[in-house]
Amino acid sequence: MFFYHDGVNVATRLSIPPQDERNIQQNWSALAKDHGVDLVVCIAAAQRRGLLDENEAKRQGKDADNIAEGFRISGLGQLIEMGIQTDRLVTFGD
Amino acid sequence: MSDVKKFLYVNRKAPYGTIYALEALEVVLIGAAFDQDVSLAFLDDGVFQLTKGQNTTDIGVKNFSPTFRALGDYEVTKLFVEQESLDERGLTADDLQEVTYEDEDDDWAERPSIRIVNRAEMADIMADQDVVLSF
Repeated sequence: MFFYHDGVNVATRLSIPPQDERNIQQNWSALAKDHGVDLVVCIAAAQRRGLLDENEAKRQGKDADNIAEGFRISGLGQLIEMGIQTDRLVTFGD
Repeated sequence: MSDVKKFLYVNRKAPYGTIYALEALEVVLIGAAFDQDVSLAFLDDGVFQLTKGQNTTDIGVKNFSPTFRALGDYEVTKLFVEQESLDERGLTADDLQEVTYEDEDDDWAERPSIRIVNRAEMADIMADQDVVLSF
């Protein structure tokens, strides 16, 4: 699973949707935990939108990170690699 | 990575106002390193991405249109532009910037990368791909 464009916003653990709404981040984190789904977030898109893991926060001199459990930050090459290796690539959203 | 797949990057949005066009180009540039058969398609407002004379000074964002001219160096040489999308926006081929590549099969002759196709041809191009990424 690759998160790109505004899709990277799914990976922040700081979102607080109202209680009667679905919490997409928690759903994805649960899916990763229960089924070992690799959740990859594009680093360039993430940095543009203020999404950091611990390493990047340190490297960029920021005082906090906000990536949720089960997600990891990597490069766009992962998306291309997925396109090459998988027999089908499906895009959700836009 | 022996198999070469056909990748098509579909650009449907105006170059500025949203980040889609720039982030699409970032994928194309990264993807160029993977030695695949790459094409770009421009339709709907995406045709504005290739217009010449873009000046973004007053909107405070980077004018990334010159990057399209560098794609030939990355062996990205097929930029398909949909005729109907141009027509619907009052644009012609003359409104687009010149993008060329050097054809290694023809003594490095300079060739145009932009090819204008009609909607039916665009559908055929899409159907012919292994991977389609739409932006």
